[in-house]
Amino acid sequence: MAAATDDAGDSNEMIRVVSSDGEHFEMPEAAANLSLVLRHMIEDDCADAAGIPLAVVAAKPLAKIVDYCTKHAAKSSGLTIEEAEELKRFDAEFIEVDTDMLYDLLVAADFMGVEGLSKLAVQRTADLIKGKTPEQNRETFGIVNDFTPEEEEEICKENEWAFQITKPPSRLC
Amino acid sequence: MEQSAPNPLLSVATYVSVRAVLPPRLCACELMFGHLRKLDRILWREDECEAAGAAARRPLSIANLPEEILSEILLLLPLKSILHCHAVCKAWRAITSDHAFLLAHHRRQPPRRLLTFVRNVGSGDDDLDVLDYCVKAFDFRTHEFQSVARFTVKDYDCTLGDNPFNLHASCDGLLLMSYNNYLHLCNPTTRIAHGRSWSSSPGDDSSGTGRATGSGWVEVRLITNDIYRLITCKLEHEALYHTNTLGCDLSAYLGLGIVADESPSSTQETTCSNNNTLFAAAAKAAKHPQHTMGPSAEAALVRHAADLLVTLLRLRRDALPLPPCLFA
Repeated sequence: MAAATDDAGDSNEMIRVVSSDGEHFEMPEAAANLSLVLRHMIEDDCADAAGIPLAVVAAKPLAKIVDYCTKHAAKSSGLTIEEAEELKRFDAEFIEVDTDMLYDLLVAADFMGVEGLSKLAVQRTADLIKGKTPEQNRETFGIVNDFTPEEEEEICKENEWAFQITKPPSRLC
Repeated sequence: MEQSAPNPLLSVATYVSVRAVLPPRLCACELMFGHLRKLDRILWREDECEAAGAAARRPLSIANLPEEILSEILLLLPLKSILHCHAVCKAWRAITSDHAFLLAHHRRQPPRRLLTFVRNVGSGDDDLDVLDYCVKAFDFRTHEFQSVARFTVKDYDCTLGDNPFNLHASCDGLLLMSYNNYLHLCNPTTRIAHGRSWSSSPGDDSSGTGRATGSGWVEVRLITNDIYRLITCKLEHEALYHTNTLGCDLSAYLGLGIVADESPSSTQETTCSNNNTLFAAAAKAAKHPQHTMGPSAEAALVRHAADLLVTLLRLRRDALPLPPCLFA
């Protein structure tokens, strides 16, 4: 295989990665470099023809991540305003996913150290939580309410969004 | 390839053994260990789910994200959503109640101008026994009002005058208010509020975080976000509050506010400085003679404010490295 030279600056080499369920993906080295983990492995010559195995990333999210990295790597420097706009649109469309995929992306992006994608997914999740009642949030994310009825009542009281000012015990003046 | 330097993340199955033989010469070694730890947690969570039994098994979801990612997400939420998150489940409650989380959340908030609204809930004159106060903040970036806190007063005594509620100061999100000679300091994010009468004898607490500096000036030192803050107030008919950052040039005031809004039950305005995290606020002394604070009352008020801040921020008083020369 092409002996990895030290000056891997302008290489068009394709990096192969393998998902946890054994699917192979390819992306340009510039795209792989957006992932901290992949970059370090490439620097350490761990990238070979067999591909870098990613133990906790399944094929579905990995395909998305490869997509994301390829798109962003191609437009990394010297963006015109139009291109920046287009990238923004791409991001907005890219992250329109269901909560299961969003979970996979959050974990995978964090694991692989893809900073831009991490931020995107975190912001998207926050947007989903925002403005919802606790009950709606539980429903959206499949969260089990593990409070006892007494605890819940207490929390309810807390959330009345008002502090009660009690009568001062002694009124002076 | 020299002696099979395997990728340490071969597969879930070989994870444990790989961990034992991870070649130490890898430059990215440390990074890998970091990721192995993450892997550890993710796998552990899967185990936990399996242990919960097939019936209760549900797919991994946002709810069981590792705590760091979850807190990163929750940090982006506005204050009101944080409060809603308190009530979702125990895990979310734990994260959103954490002191470090709240501080981090607070640091992200932009400077906002505080406004106080007084509104009467009652419909007629005989029905005026409930009073409703609303503290709102104005976000300069989004041009939106945001509710910061709401106070309701039951059994309101109409004879007390038309403006018994005052917002005195705000520092790093804590609000200092008074109502009927009763001082309230609250943290709207944690919903912890402390009330205290400032007329209690000054000698009851040996704190010494406030002192009179002569000619009616009183200083309070606060420590918020690990930065010293100084609040000084000028007494007499109108109170002036300055906030300042200790540890730098004391003469450089970061904020000064004077408000002399004489309109009766109305908006009372406070000013905020341009500094990112620092609000300076000012308030006029109450209009009615019986509410005008005398110097000693004001001094006690300020002293108590410092005490309460110490309590609210859960600091040990002896942990505050206050310069002794600043105490009288």
